Amino acid sequence: MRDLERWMVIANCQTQGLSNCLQLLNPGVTVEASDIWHFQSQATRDPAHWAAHMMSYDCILLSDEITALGLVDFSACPRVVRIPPIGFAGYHPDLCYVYAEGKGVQTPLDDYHSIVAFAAFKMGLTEADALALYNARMFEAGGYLDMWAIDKGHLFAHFDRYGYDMAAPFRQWAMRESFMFTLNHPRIECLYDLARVATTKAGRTPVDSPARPHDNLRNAQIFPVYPEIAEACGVEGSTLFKVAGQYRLLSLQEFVHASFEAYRGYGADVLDTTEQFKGRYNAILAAI
Amino acid sequence: MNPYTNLPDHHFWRRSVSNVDRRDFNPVTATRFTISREARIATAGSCFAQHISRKLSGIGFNYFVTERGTHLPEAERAAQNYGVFSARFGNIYTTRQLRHLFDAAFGRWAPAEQAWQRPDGRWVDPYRPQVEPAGYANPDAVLQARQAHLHCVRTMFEQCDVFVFTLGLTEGWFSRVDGAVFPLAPGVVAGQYDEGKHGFTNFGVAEVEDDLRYVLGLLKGINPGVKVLLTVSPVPLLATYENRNVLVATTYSKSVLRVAAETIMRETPWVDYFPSYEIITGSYNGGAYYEADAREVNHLGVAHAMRAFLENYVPDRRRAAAPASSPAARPEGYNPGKVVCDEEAIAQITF
Repeated sequence: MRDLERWMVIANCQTQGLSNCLQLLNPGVTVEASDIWHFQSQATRDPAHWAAHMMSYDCILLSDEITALGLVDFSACPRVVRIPPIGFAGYHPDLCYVYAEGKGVQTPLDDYHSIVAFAAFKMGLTEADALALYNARMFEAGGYLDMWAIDKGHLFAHFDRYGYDMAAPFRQWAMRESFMFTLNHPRIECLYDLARVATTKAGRTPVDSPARPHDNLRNAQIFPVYPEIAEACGVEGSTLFKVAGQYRLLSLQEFVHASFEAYRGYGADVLDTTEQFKGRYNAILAAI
Repeated sequence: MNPYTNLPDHHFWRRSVSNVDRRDFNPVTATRFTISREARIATAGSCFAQHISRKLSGIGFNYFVTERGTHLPEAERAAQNYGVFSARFGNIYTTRQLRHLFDAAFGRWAPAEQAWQRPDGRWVDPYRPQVEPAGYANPDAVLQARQAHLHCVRTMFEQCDVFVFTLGLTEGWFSRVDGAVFPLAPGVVAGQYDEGKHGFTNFGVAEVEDDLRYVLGLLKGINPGVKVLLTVSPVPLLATYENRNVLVATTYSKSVLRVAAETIMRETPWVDYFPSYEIITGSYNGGAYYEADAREVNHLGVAHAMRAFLENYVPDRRRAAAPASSPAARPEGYNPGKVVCDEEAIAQITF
């Protein structure tokens, strides 16, 4: 039987999960997906083709970040639904990005770094000294224990801007375990709830069921929720880091060692983190 | 306009429970006193109180311990049950036990049964049968240790600024000779059960309230500035002697204790009730604060309760400097020390 509609989802690393969830919730729709990297690459190469291609869909679901690229005028599309990407640092206040002369520095968890490790390296500490900094006193000095409440406020303001009331789902996400694998990789349940709201915004009634898509982001990097942070958040903690694409864990010691090795390749002077993390980074520096 | 109009949010389930994130649930609406970090805080009660003790010292409070076991190397004291509570009394499950302990500490009462023999020939104190893992050589040694212990108990009651008591059970075994209540039934780890000498009781509200009034009245007399915090243990009974399902018996027991705590709090201005029971057992958390056995409270529940305690009772909520601990000293799978529970002894021998 031919589906009634064709939808296209364009978002970030959450695209595939969102697409799968939307498909599950909309049996009468064919849902296709293009993440931002694919979209940017293709639309840059042939913007006219992509503009025409977008018009072939009954509904485009996308984040503001995609619109802001200015590659396609989505306002001409039959129906456009905005979907907010989920970003939440409450479980991972130590996570940051590090750049050297504008290019991302890679750790075993790719773009994800530890503020404590980075700050320790910048201060000229040894790896052993850095390891000793992972404790409640340092986390408190860095404002880590306040991040859950602070970032929840940011997240809800973000949802408000998109017109999504996620208060009740959020309470369920946070009920049992950390609902984020990293600060921008949510569990599939979060994307499912988002997709449910997006479905109603697209003018359809979601077909809810106990079924859930596979949690594809679980196969990617998993940054641990440190025990001290976890206890304050009401979830179980860990100091084990999961590498992307493999079921392989690194200890904190291994992660710090690998981070230091990466930093040594550049030298402290050219390394910096972004504005988003500067507050906690500076607080950690001051506390060391 | 109706009587509920303009009431604060905490009066309403939707506003203060179901629409609140689990970790932010705070059922304390007002406190009768605040607690400084310097205040000498003494703890006693059931197994759950051990979590409170451990956490207090871990977060920089002045956990008041009068029986420290300084004759032992520090590494051995915990194993010998020093520091588990403010004095080495073991678990005080019932208010009757507390009443007898208070009277004994101030020389007003001495139990008829003074020592029980274990199957291995060693002797124990019937009122704290598991505090000395190796037991004592003879009844005189038991008595001697008990006298030293009671001296420490007296000091605790006389000098503490805050006394935190966790009400645990209403069921207990008593001596038919003098009414002394044992934390464990005779014969479980030591002693001999004798139906002529021992009986079972399930204390009711009136009895629990009377015990609390008695102890608190005397306590205030010898320590006029003391404040008391009552809590009810959220840990279900490991076993009931009543012929009913243990969960049904648990509900009765906890209800009695909760009512008694409320009554005493309402009639005594220097007594407050801290709702750790509600924090742990409340439906809002979907059982998240129990271990897999649905009975032991997990560290997340303890942390939540202590968070609420700090937020509500401590005027200066900045944490004391927590001791630094390197990951090397805290291996993956870190678990706080095992809680010692006399009640567990029943499961080890019977189930």
